[in-house]
Amino acid sequence: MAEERQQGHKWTMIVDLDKCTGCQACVVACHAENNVPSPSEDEIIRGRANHWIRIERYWEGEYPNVKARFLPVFCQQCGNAPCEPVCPVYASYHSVEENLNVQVYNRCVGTRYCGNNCPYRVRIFNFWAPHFDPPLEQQLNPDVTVRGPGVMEKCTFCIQRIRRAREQANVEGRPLEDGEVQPACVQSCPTDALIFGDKWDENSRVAKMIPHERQFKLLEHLGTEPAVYYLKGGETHVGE
Amino acid sequence: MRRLASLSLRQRLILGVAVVGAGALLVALLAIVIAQTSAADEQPLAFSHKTHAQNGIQCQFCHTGVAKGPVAGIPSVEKCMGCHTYIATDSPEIQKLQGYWERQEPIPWKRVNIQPSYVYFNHSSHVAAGVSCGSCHGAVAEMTVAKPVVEMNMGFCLDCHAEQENKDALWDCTVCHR
Repeated sequence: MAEERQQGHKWTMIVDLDKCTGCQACVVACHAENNVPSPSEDEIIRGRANHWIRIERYWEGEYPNVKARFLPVFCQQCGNAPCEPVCPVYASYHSVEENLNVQVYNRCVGTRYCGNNCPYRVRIFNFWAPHFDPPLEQQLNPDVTVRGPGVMEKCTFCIQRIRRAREQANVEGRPLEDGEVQPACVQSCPTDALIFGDKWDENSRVAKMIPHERQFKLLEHLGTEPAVYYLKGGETHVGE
Repeated sequence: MRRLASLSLRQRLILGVAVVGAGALLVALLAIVIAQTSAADEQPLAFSHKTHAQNGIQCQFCHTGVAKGPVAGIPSVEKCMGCHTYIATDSPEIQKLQGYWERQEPIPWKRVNIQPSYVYFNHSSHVAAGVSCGSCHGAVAEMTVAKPVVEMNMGFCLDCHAEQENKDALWDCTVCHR
């Protein structure tokens, strides 16, 4: 289905699973960039791990021929997002300008409907006030809100970086260039497994890679129209 | 009232003290709030925007970041001393300034315009769009003490954003909230 180009940008991520080594550099970078507190071991055991990116690990085969497969999962920035219509206060809303799902923290009243309706389980609820072990409280990113208790949060594709780059381009009176915006995860990925850009910019790296023969989307049959494209990994594609 | 009448003298006394205490607490809280909102009046130095503007100094001479990035910025003591090593050196306020300079301390200015922590404002975008400083900050050039003129709430921002050509883009939540 050909997508109609509308106003703004269509921010898109490509995850090349052939290149992902499961190193979690993206997870660490995301925590640092987005003021995400680190959960304690106890909270993780209770299922309250609050990473905006999680690396799902799958074992394949029987010993001794065992292989590990990794699947980084973060907010899929759905075009038809299940989290949006269920929010009673419009805190989870669709940005027409950026074509992203945005969580407006100061609107959120913490019903958690959005998190329960998300098929990807990528929304995180703040059960307590955020805590940063010293000296981590001194490295908080001033461009990102520190979310208080009772607020739902999730991956934003580093909206603060998108906005900063757009504002800079606007001040300089030029269009935004491909590669100018890089979310923290993309910037930190050592194997270049994550590729980010505007799909509506024909010359962007992302637009040139779509469609790809290895391409698939997570739970595509649900009709959520994710903005994250995964490229299959595995032997059949090695060295491609 | 019948319930109150059934209370013993001691219980009534406790109730009375509690009511008076709660009232006193409320007054104290109110006093703190008022003190905080009027803190802008008590700057460490009696700096006058009016005097500087009358001498032909442009806003951007001191607030250098205003066209370059999100933050307009407050000038360093070094910037003040660039002129005040020679100008008005016998004024007591300028001698206070020289004190900061000699002790190598920054001046602990009190913030005048305050935004909530979940609002991200970019000065440079507004300067590039031709918004004058006065549209939000009022006639600072005529103020001896800088004071907030407009209540910079969401309604104030959106009133102006709604009038712009690209109002759909400026109406987006991500413009200010991240």
